[in-house]
Amino acid sequence: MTTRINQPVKVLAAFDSKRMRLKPLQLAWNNTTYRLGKVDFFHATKNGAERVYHFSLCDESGGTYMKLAFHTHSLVWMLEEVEDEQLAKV
Amino acid sequence: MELGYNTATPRMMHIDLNSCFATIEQQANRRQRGRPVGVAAYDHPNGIILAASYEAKALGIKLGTRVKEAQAICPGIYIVEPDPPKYREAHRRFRAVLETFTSDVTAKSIDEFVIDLTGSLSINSGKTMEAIGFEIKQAIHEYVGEAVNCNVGIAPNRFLAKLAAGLHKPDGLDVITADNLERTLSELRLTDLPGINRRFSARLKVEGIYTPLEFLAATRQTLMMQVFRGIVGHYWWLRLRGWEIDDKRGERRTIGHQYAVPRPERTPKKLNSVLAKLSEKTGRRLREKQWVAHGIHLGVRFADYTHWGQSMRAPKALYATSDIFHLGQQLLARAPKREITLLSVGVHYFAPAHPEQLSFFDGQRNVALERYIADAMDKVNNTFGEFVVQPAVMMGVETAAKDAIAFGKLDDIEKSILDWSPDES
Repeated sequence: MTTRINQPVKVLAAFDSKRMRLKPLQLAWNNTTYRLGKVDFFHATKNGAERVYHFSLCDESGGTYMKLAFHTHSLVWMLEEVEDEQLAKV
Repeated sequence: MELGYNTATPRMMHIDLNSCFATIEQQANRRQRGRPVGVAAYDHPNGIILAASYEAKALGIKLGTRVKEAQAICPGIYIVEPDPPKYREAHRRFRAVLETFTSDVTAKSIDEFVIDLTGSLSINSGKTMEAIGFEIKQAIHEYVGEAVNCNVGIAPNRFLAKLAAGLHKPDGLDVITADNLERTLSELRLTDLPGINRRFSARLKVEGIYTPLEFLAATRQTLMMQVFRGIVGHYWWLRLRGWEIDDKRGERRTIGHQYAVPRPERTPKKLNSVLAKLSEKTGRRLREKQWVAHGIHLGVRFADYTHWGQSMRAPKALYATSDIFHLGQQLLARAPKREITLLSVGVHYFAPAHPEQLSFFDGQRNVALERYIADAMDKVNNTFGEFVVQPAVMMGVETAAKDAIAFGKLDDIEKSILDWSPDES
């Protein structure tokens, strides 16, 4: 079952200039660093004038599903939800 | 001489995404692919399943199944609440894919489109409709998601194309032409035909029409004079033969919202709060279009699944949220005093908001000031977020009337944020 988290997290991300994409690569949360896999779905919402980008993905091992959000006004990454599973460590 | 079957080469294509909401959730969370998934209005034992994955459907879980029943059938089923922004994004990408094949693209709902490939580059380049259908399936995998499948139906008219799309699910591709029309219809029931529900099926059976083949064989006279008692019978006669009569693009006629309460409710205070939020959401969309409305409808569903609704012509043009709310309250006061499980508000009879048309009944009202305040509230909410400024009666109901997907008109959905072209790898 998915658990709502809604906490700011530390994220390492890459900007792909060729494909004009932003891709999260690693995430640190709860004293664990996750290496992130392919982005499975990407969409945007608006919170007033602020655009928020949402990334649905699993960690590299496929054991943990996460939904991350990048807030463009505050430049904060939020971990929105997690599906509890075994952890993948760097 | 009577018109025969339409023997033209089919150029209409109906495409719909398989189990759209559940499939998009499986696309987003790869751990759920190949597993039973249920998208439920509320993740609560009495919540209703809105969409089930094919794996869940195979176990008998479908639209309308309660969460507790689904969990009894399949204890490991993954239940998730709807995430409409995801589905809207999938819809945008779906449209973008289809627009690379033809400019004649019509959305029928959040998860289905009909396209006309007559004179398109794809057809003029010599591709067959089936080949184009397979290209569309591939493009949807690349752009919407690799876990997202669709059904494709190809036929000379929209009706038969939709029928074809429903023949083999999931991930089917079927063609109906004059050559296989009778064979196809011989394998179906009346209620398998799009637009024929149990009520129409009963009406047909009264006239001795029990199967789609008998429906096809019925004369135009019988359908017009006895079954449908009007021009609709003539339309069905043409439709079944593959002639196009459904090529209408309707203008938006209603703006509204509805909300299913988690528990049956009859207290005026709680219902007024929900009504206020529905009025605000409706008013926002009305003002975005710079329209006023001259009619309002309020509908309720009771705990025993019966319905009640009333419309009224507004004594003055509706623009501000308070205009809609106050009339909605009047209508709600007329509803039978029973427990309510769903409330809906809609406005209609639109006109441009400017210049303001003052009514004889406006009296001491300052219409321009009221509209200025409504617009100012919208500007604050546009900048800082929905419901940052809200009517006082809405306080305490932040989670009521959640964002939901419209199953009707989708002209409000803007372009996808993701650029894509068929050549991207």
